Amino acid sequence: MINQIFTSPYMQAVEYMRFISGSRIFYNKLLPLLNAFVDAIQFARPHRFFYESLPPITHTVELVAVILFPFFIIGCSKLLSNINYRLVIILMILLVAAFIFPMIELITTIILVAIYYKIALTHFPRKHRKLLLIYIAFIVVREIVI
Amino acid sequence: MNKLLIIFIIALVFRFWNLTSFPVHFSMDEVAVGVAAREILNKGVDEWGQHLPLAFESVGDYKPPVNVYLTAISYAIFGMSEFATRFPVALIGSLTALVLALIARELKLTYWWFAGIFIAIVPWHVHFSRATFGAIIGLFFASVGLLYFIKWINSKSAHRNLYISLSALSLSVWAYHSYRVFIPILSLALIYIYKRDIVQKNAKQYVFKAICILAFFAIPFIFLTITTPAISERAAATSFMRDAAFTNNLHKGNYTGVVEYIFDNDMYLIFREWSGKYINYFDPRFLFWKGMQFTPPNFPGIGVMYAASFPIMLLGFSRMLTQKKQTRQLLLALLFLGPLPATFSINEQHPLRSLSWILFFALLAPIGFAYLKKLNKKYHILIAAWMILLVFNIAYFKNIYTIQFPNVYSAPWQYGYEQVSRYACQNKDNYDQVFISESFGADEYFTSLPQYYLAFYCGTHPFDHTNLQNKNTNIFIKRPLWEVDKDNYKNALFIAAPWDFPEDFDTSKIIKKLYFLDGKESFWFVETK
Repeated sequence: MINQIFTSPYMQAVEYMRFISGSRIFYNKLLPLLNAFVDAIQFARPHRFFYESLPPITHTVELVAVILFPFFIIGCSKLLSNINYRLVIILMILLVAAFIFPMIELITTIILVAIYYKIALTHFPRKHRKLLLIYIAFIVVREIVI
Repeated sequence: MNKLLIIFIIALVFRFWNLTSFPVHFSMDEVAVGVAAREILNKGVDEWGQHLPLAFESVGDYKPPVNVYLTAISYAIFGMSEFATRFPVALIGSLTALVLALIARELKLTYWWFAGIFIAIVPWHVHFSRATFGAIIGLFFASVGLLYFIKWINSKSAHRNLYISLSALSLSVWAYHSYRVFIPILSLALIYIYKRDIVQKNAKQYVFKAICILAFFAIPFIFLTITTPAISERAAATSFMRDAAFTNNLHKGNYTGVVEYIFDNDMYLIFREWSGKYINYFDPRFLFWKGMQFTPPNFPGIGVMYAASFPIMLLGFSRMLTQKKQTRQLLLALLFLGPLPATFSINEQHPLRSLSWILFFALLAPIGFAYLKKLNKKYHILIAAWMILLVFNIAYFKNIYTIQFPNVYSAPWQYGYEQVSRYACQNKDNYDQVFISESFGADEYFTSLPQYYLAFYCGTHPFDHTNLQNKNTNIFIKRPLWEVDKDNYKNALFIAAPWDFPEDFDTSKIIKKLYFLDGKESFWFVETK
């Protein structure tokens, strides 16, 4: 992975910026590593799980997700307020692992989808769950007929 | 020293340090605002001859009026200059930091001053404050409106606060386009959140005056919307419904059957397109790593907030729902409504149009900072470590903003037209005609409005330069057609991009060259004689 980072187009851009600014240590070493870390976190970005087409799940997810998205955000805030270190550490390991070993990306994706949707559904108001079910049914039928 | 004074000084330093040097060049919008302000100050009409207009017609666009009138006041004080043009927005940007600190204090957040510090130094606000962006004025008035609304709620009967709030919120709508969407929705959210407090107040005491204030600002706006294209044209020009790649997929009423009508109708497709844009704003890379677009894609950049803000925001986010009910609801409203105006526009992740979102992050910052102090008994070490990280991040921002950004993006910032305009005005008597091209660029093709640069730097009227028959000037806007023009104009100067001249061009005719900051040639000055 390290070799990949240091030969990527990003690294070429870093080299160019180092040349302009003259800051060797920061631009040559630290910034590419930070970027790799951000890439790992980026793997879990909400847009990926709540909108973009995911190969194993297809875009069935996307519209259900839009409705659930605010509840996911609220759920995340609540989860963070009782910091569950074990969950955070497991998630971080999964993310970094998925970034390093692309073959486990699919498993990581499915685990993250399960976690994300569990969070969102937990915080969806109980009294509106019927409406949500109707909506999900609409999206599923749509996927079948279109 | 007073905390507010410290916040204000920090904000001033971040905004006024080398104000005329960074951003690297006056943009088209800045010269257009400058020229309109000068015309208003000198003649009371804009460059199109409209008497004290409420929407300033520009080329293919209408500009909200507040920025232009503030710039006119600045010119009255300092005289017309680059500094005087950028001064009002930089000052208002600095004041916004104070207002956000006061909002946090009014919400009784323990480290309220941290909201002000956040705004004072955050790249999102610093950059747009330095370049005459009307969105900064809109945000300032929105913040003032929010502050006085909360003050009104917290006071027993001081309805003066409500009138100030309504006036400020209305001015915000007049200051920048995206607040035409944000302010009405925010107002409804405020009414919902504070409905109990509002009901408890004696309506007879304030309703009539409040309606009068709203009418004062709203009636001209409605009039403008109905009678001119000033409002609708802007909305149409920036809407995501202009995206051909998307609109080509719409059925536009031509459905093949009932199934398509029910399950794949245009409403559904529009909603899906919009929701993608909306969720895309909740992207950590946009927020903390690359959102300011100071460098090309794949290049290291900077987020709309510092990467060092991430832990503070995460901590604040984790405590957001533990706040008092109304504070919590206000934060949620700002969180979900903040990016809303930007999601209706054609661009993805637009930092300027989503600037209203900064209100949420500014109020989250003190909550996060307070929690950082609570996390550990040795919080001094945590804070010291975080401060070191922040200082390092600010140094990185300075490097990106003052070295990399100008270097890479001098062309999109119209670099060179100031020198071109000054040279043309100083040397126009040596030629029968001076022609300046509106097309330029090294790697990409750009179009500018050189007539506005000429008007700004030479004190002329912009339209004098667009009519080749005009006898008032001999400087005109025209691309060279060298094979024809060299014979038609025997003593003329052409200023244009190198690629505007033939490949076998006689380079001895070039008397001067200009360069973009990345070293590429920008303009050749070529004599026909």
